[in-house]
Amino acid sequence: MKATAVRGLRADLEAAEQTLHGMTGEDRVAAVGRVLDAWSDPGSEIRRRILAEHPAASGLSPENVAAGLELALAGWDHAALERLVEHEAEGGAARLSGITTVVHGGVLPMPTLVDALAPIVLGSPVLAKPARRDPVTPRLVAASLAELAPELGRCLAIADVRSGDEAALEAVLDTRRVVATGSDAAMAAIGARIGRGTRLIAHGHKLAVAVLGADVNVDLEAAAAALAVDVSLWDQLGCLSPIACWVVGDAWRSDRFAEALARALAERERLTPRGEVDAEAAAWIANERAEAELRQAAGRGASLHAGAAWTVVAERDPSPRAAPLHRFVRIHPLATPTDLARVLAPLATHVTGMAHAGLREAAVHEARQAIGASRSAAFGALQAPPLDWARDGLGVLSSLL
Amino acid sequence: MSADPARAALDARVLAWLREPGAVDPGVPAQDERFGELSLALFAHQFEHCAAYGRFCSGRGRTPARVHDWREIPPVPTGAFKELDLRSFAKDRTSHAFRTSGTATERRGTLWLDTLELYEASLLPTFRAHVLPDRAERALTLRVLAPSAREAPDSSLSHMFETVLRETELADSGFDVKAGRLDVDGLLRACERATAEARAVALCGTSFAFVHLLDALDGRGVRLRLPEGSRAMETGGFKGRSRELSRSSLYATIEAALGIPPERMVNQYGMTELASQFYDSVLQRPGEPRRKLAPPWARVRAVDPTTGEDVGPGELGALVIVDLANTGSLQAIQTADLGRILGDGFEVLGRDPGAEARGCSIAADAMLGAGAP
Repeated sequence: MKATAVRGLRADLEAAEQTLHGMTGEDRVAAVGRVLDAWSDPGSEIRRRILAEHPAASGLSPENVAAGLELALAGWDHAALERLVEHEAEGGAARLSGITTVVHGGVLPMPTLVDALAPIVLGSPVLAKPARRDPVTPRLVAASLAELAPELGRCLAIADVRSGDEAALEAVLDTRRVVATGSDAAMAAIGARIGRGTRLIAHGHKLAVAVLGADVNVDLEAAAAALAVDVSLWDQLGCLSPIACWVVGDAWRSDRFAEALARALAERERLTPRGEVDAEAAAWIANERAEAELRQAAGRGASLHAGAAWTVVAERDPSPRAAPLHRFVRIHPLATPTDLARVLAPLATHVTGMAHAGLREAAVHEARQAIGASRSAAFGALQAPPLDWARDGLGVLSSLL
Repeated sequence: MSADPARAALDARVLAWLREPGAVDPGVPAQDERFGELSLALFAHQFEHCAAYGRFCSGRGRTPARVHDWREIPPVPTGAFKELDLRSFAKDRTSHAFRTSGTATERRGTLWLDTLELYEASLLPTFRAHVLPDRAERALTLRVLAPSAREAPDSSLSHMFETVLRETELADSGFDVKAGRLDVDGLLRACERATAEARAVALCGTSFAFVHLLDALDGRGVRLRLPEGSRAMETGGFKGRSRELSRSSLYATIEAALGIPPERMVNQYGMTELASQFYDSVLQRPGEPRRKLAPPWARVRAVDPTTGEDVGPGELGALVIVDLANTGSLQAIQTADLGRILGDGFEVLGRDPGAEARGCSIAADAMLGAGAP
């Protein structure tokens, strides 16, 4: 799509804005709520379509996409939207003007869904640039809007511009505000391009961690099975999929947990197989595995547990290490939960999620605050954030206002 | 030469190859049998003398008794050199340490050596063949955009240039990075002298040093037209630098600023962990497609990262290098680069710098630079 075509889409969206502003906030919420109801219904046509189309585009396995959607979208319905609007948008009275550009990133449908719909709830039409590995979700969001909420008009347009087409990209970013997801470098590049009259709401590099405490008795096998769900869903390509787990206690305990997690990941591979891995990621995984083997051979800690499509490295040291994703987890010993913030200091502001087990509630709260995570959940539930989860501390609606 | 008699015997066999006249000339037979025999002998030695490597190989079921082809020798990832002392000689015999580039806070990889003899014997014929192939018929000046080995004693690149300058004795040649700064004035004077005396200039250095030079020339409004036959050799990338350029942009800018055409620009692929270097074919084999060529004592494979098996010609794979000149450390290295085999050479694709982040989660290596072990 060339720059002229993008400008044409913007003209259409300006017309759609009149329609959106002609509706009450309640009407917009009702219309978008119907769309969410369909997306959250496992038996809906839209769920059938995304299950049919997303895996081929993203490279994820159909079983993984199905399991991920079922867990994540269960509560994302009209009622949840009403609560969100009540809490963040003055019950629907708040309103935006101008077009919102949404630059999607990654492969997960949920952030794409919420980022595309949130501006519309507030009366702003959306110009969406799809992510390279998920061209499906924005198109299906637009289709479900057209089908289930025709009164919203053509309020979502897809700008499928080619990478490197500077003029087209400039036209995409020339709107009132830009919501973008991607690498920190991509966020910086977008920030450098947008005009002074455009506001950027950026979701850059984020990741999740896990903590297994020793405050309460934990069945290591059950905890490992639950954490394996967090690790395997979306093949660690989402910001709520832990890249490493810190196990409070000695090396014996973390080693036992690593072994249990290895067994659990092998079982998850049977149920929800890992998807495609590109050559770059595969090479990185191979290198990290070989490094772990060598450290083990040199008596420098680390033991490797690996299947064809998953890797667990039991480390001797609590310091975080490189994480190549695609079901690659490191298990580190940790003396006490209060050490977590110090250990994670190199990751600074990048931690967004914390899965936990075996910790008292106060300890969970303390650890979450200390590492700056915007979400914490028990093992197995981290990848099911509520619709109103303030990703990166940014309110779904309030960040736009 | 190593003090260990077994190693010394191996070194002597490898050195004999490195020093053979015409060893890297075009059309020289690959000598697969010779390579395979030496490689297996070296594997047996390194398996025995580098304990961690021996256990690593045993863990994979790859012992000298069970490995019958050099392709079966387990490669070591370059990242391991950041954490482990991977040497196949007694620690107290260490005479040199070359370290990978990086910031003060980053952990740097180290190549430990007990002799520089093989390192130097390997680098000279390949540099001559690919950067100075016309030396016999053309007067040349070699200018180096890098610090001398005295200023950067742990830089293998500086040592390489020091060796080349010492052994080639080219007129008016030397280093143009002094006390950590590019000596633009000194370089310009040398270029003026070369132009006045019709000596072609071989300008060599890191990719980023070229960017510094180009920025300096641009700032002064200077454009040079170096004598006919001049060439540039650049190496390394832009990792961690404030400014990045694609190779094609770099070459276009060098051509505009220095008058060196792209077909006379040679990229060197090398790494601290290897004794041998790999050069673009353009000067040694003009008119042929650009590809990187390995000396006959090194082999490059593109492998499926998951299986470790060779991928087909032209297919993308992870690059594994087996370098017989690495007698003191380990000969088989698993690089972090992707590439493909092209005929008798190969192409390095590296990591795609423009690749879109795979998710809102990321691979955390960049953030971990300073703090990770």
